[in-house]
Amino acid sequence: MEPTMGLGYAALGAGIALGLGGAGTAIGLGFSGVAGTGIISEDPRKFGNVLVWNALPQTQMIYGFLMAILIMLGAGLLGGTPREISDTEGLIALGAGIVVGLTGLSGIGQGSICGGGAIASAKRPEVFGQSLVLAVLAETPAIFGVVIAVLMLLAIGFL
Amino acid sequence: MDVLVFVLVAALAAVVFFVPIYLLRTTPIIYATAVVKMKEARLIDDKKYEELVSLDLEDFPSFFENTDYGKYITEPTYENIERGLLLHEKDLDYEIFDLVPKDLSGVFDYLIKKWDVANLRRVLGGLHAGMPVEEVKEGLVEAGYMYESIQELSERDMEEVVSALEGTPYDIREGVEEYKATNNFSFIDLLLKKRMFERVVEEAIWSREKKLKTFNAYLQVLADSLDLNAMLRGKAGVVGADEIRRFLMKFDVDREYEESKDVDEFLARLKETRYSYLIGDVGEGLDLMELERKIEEQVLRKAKDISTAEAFGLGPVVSFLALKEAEIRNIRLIAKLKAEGVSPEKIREFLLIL
Repeated sequence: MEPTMGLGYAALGAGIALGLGGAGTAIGLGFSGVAGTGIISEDPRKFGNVLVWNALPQTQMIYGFLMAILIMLGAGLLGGTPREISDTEGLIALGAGIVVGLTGLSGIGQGSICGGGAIASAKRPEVFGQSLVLAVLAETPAIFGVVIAVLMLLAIGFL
Repeated sequence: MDVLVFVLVAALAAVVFFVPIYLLRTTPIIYATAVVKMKEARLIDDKKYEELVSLDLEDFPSFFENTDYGKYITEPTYENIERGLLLHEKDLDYEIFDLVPKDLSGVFDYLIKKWDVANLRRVLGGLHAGMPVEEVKEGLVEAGYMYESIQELSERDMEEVVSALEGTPYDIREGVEEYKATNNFSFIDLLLKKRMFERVVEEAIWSREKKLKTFNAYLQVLADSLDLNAMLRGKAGVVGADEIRRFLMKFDVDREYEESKDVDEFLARLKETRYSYLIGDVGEGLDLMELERKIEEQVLRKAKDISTAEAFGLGPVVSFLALKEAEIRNIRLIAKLKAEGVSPEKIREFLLIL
């Protein structure tokens, strides 16, 4: 089967979903990780606390990864039997990838919040819960992005 | 479609290129912030101060054993405690200097230079008090950029030291006249502080770093407090406006200074000037030591405000340095007053706690 332009758009969508989501996570972890190393340099016993804060920004990359897999599955790119996908279907799959990728950049903001939360809760353990709530709020753009992307993929029969 | 692809690639390139640059600039500050916040968590709180004030000097080493002062305060004597505090402060200053981003090290250099000033003060103070050379040398701290030369100066007399400092950043000829006329060491002390400050302010102003906005705000507060303390001492010592000017960074209240007949009137008039934030609600009839304590309290408050305003910049570093200085001052004072047999109730009045 001749690969169609639609297949190309879908592949681009998969790449953007993970690429941007991964960038959001990597940059966010830059903030929270650096704060974490500062904390454990002063008190290694805080490693557990620091680990929790560094786990949170990972979720955007996971959403991007899942979306990439779903798009590739729907387009038949996994398993070596690509489907014949129209340009419209391909662009919708691209759109799904873009929305997850762009909302995945919320990982940058979440990483900043997690860095601040790690510092605040290391200094005052009683604010751990409140700081966690603030960090989780930064997750919502990514969650909405995934929901819309899934609906888009459902519309074109990828799922 | 080509346009869409172009836009997407451009957006990606922007994220990949610009965000890491921002990260590279912010990361060093985040690390420093995390470290100082952890250090701040270990500062002595009200409950611990209550406990310390009620202890005897003999119990000080065991009280500080599991704290940052543990390896410095090892004997229950005021001399050991004072020396321990100095060495701890020196190690901390060097640590913070290494922590701050390298592009700001020119400004935070003051953490090292302050030890040149401290050592010079020791030498000049020792000469003023007629202390033996060995005792002066024992009190010097191996820190700063001029330690070896200052050590040599401790073997000379006052005239030779003043002459040796000519042309250096710590030229104190301006204050020596007043010192000789009054035999009041405060004039030399004030001038040394002014000289150090002038250099720090110069560096901060020349640097166009936006990050220094917080630091500059704090510098302004410190400069104001230095000038205010100098003016209050001058007023109490009946020093004229023309003479006191030499010891100030900025003297824009000369009319209020000249026209006030005493310290209380001067303070009342200062409440209408830009120094009002430092004076607060200070009452009348306080002695110089109490006034200086009130001013230090306001400086500390300002440092804390600055820290809250800029949680991820230099704010926490600046605030921590101020709080740590206050803590060291408190411990030194508690130890000194304990050694003099002062009661815990009286000691509490002198502490600087927010």
